[in-house]
Amino acid sequence: MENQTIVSQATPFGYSSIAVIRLSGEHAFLFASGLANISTPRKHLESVLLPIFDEGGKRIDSGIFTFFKNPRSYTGEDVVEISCHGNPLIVKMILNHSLFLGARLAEPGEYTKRAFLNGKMSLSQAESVGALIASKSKNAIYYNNKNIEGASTESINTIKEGLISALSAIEYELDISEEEDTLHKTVSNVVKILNNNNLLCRSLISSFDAGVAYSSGFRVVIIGRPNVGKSTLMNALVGLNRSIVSDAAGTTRDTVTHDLIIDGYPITMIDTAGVREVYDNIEAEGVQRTTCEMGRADIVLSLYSHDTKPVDNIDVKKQINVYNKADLHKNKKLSGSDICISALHGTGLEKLNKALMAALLDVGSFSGDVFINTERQKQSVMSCESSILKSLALLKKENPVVEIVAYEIKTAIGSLDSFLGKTTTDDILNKVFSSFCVGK
Amino acid sequence: MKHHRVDVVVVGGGHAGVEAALICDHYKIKTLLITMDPSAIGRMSCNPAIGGLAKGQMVREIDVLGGQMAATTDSSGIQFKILNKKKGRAVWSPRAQVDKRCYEKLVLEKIKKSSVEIITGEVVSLLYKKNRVAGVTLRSLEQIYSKTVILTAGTFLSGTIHIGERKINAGRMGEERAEGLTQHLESAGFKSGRLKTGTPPRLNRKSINWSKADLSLGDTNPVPFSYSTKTFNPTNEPCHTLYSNDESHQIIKKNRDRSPMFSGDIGGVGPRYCPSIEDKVFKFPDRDSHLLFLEPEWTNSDQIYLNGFSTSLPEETQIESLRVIPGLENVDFFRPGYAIEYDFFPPSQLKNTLETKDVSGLFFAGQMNGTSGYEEAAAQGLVCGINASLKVLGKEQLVLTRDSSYIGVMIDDLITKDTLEPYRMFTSRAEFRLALRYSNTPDRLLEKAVECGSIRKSLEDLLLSVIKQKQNMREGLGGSMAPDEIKKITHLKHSAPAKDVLKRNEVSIWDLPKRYLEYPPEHPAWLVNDTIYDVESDIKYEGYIKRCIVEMRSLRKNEKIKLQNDLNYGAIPGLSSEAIEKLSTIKPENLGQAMRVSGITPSDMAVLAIHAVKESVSRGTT
Ligand SMILES: Nc1nc2c(ncn2[C@@H]2O[C@H](COP(=O)(O)OP(=O)(O)O)[C@@H](O)[C@H]2O)c(=O)[nH]1
Ligand SMILES: [Mg+2]
Repeated sequence: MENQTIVSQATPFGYSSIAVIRLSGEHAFLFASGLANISTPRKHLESVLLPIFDEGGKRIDSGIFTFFKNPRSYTGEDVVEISCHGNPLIVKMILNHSLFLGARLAEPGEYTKRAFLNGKMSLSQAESVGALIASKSKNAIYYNNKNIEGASTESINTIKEGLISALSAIEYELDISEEEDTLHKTVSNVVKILNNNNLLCRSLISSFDAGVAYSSGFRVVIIGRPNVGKSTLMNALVGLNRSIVSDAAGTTRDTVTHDLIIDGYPITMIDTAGVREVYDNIEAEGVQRTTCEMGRADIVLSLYSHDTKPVDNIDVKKQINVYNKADLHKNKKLSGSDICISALHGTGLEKLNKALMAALLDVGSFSGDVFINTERQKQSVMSCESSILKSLALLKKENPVVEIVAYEIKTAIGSLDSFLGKTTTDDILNKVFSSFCVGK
Repeated sequence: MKHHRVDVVVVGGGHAGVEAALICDHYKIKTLLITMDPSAIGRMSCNPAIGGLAKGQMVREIDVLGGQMAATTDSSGIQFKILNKKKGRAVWSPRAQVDKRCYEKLVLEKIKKSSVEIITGEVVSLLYKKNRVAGVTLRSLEQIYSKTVILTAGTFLSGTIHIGERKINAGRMGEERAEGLTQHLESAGFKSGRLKTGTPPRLNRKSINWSKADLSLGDTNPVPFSYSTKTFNPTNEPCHTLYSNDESHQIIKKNRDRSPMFSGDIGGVGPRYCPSIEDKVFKFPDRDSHLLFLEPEWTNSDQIYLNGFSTSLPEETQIESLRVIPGLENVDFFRPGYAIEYDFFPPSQLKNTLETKDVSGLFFAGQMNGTSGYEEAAAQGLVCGINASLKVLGKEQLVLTRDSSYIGVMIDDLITKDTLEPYRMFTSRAEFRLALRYSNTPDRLLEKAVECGSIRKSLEDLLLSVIKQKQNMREGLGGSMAPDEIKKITHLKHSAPAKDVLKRNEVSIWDLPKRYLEYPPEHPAWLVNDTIYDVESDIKYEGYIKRCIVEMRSLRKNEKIKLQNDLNYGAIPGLSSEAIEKLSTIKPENLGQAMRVSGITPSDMAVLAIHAVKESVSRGTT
């Protein structure tokens, strides 16, 4: 049953230049030959252009068939990938023919599940693949790729090693040392290790939030002194009236975000409160938000105009300087990479778009380390953290009961093991795999 | 020549052999003990102590399961002490300094009083009927027919003693080694390996300047090991401690090449937890001293065991490096320290009953299985004896689980993990350590012991009343304390169940009103203390113990999913080649065991779990 041959479209539904259909399982080669009406057996990695027929024998398309022999395929089974024209009707007919031949439609996440079960990847790698499919930006793909190679596994292992060293120090006290005066030293050593690993957990947990942001799109933040035209630019870019545009300096007290698609990429545009030397009370919080937004941004658009200087001394990874209100004053000394626009009149926006996309697609320098991608992974690290905190609280007491501390540290290690897929039960497995989209 | 036909042959009269023979006798089956030297029965060949960290808990388990070690220790101990008192109640471990001569004498008396027959001889091969064991053959060529055979050969199988460059073929110092049995077992298909262990020198009491040593005494309120011990007033003989120093370390370093461990003469792997002094000096170069214990081997003994100084250096180096230590300036030896190498049989060849997987009726116990320690050996001997008897009687075998006992943990570890060094029990090996206390042994094991019939009726009755007593006390503690009663012991304003008051850090069970602490008059004072203390532990640790119970349940779930003995692991798609190899040799009996096999990865587990569940569904056995 488990090895029944499955089929599905691997690329998104809808019109596109190319669609990929994937067959996996014992009869994948046989069914592919059936689709193309050929009889010669194919070799591993062979790629050929073949006609494609419907079950009535009528030719409907032609496509590139690529054959992968088990176990050297994604799922570890025989796999055939067929690239055909991206016409939903053609795809539907090919799928129908495959079903007619005996395949069945893949369940969500089934390809990855098979890959996992065939020992092709660890559980956290498998989850990364799920996130990979769902991820929309280049950066997310980059980090998910890193995860597939086990980078998140690596950072979890680092924490695990730290915990194991703390635990072994305690176990030494309980199991080996018959002296009683060494306990104090051991405790302070263990506290140090635990504090350190607590920080590592924290940073992994916050990387989850960053990871979600990356997977869901780029963040573009507009900054500049009050009244330079940030809200106007945002509105121009979004094409909607979402921000309050006003003449009084500092009306945009909070950040305003809007999601839009530029060149097919998901982008979250953020309009911030103005940055200036003297904050008034009402805006103080908004300004702090601005600093925070800049930290999370992929690209910062720094606006200035004839009567306001660009905001300087801002430590950001990527910044595009934009000279606004060009309709009022042409900037003679425009520096090379600066973009010159009029937000109000919509001039220069084309150029800005281009510069923006070029910069975004070049972003490969996420300063954080490694992502954790799924809620399950986050929960594991969080429960690890909570056990570490409990251990630390126990160790603060005057006569710490170290055997209980050991138990908590073991629980913490257990949480990480569940991250790494060690203590997986069928329940968790099923949940993990059903949250994947069809195709992988 | 007498023609023998018995129910069980026990080969070896060490701690495993003694427990095995005596419990078989308890089952009233015809038992024959074969030893190369009857005068060495029950001998404590290494340190003069029983119990200690994790081992003390095992000795209590041996007691509840019907073994003799605990009671004999109580009668021969000369100093009793609970270790780890400051480190947490679940790891409290009883330990006794024992009069070796007395222990040996008491054991021999017990054997003589029983119907166990002793013969002197060396077993060189086994007899078989198909894949069943049918008896043994002695070097004298005498054949003895038996339904079951328990091998407990200790360090005697091809034993080689090393002292510096000297090599002596022996099973123990001064005792002949056993030849040929290893080769025989290998030819029968068993795999063997080589391990080593060591022992320190024995010093002459009169040559030690005792004024320079520090005193170390036992507890003033000693706790016995055995529940059958009533009044308990053992002596409290002192031990002494000394520290090695840099000068002595320098001498050891200079002669390092003469230690067979470093010269390459010893191939066997030694225990990391009990390193020789030369190991310690090299592995911890920044320590300029190591603690040494001077332990009397028996009451008023002139022979002093130098605990902490296990070594295989040449005798003159041993003396030289000790004589620079204050207090040992003029020290003389009765016997130098030495290392011994011996054959063992990787215990993955055993079932969780300690019967071999391939030869029915054949059991292995003790150092042959790669363990070290009297307590570990005794526990295995006991389990082998019980299961051999049950087999002879046609009854269901005794299997101890990881959540029931340290013995269960040990056996499961032995059969699933690679043995890379002699196996010693540690509390950290038990995942349910908080629930495996020395003081709750009856609660964990009495039912099993009664079920398999290994416990004497009188002890069973006593332990039932202990368990009942604990239940009553726990129930009683659910009752409310009045505010003025509470006020005296903690700052809580309103009335509350005694249990909740007891959970507070600063409250001890002894602070509670007397009505909560009533106990049956027939229980000896030490047992009353033990019981009350254990009830306190249960309540103080309640939250953690509940968590343990949840974990135990999920463990048991996996234990229930059986794996067929003839399962073809190579045919399961997705198993890694290492997993296929390991699982095919170990042939785990259930999913839980498979999970613990060394080298099994999470994805192997997932594959195997799905396969096993699918199988049991298609067999309709879930
Ligand atoms: N002439 C001209 N006026 C602009 C331009 N961009 C913005 N403004 C005006 O500048 C004022 C402040 O704009 P706003 O977007 O609220 O600035 P913010 O405080 O940076 O968000 C408004 O009156 C806008 O109409 C521009 O390109 N040309
Ligand atoms: Mg604004």
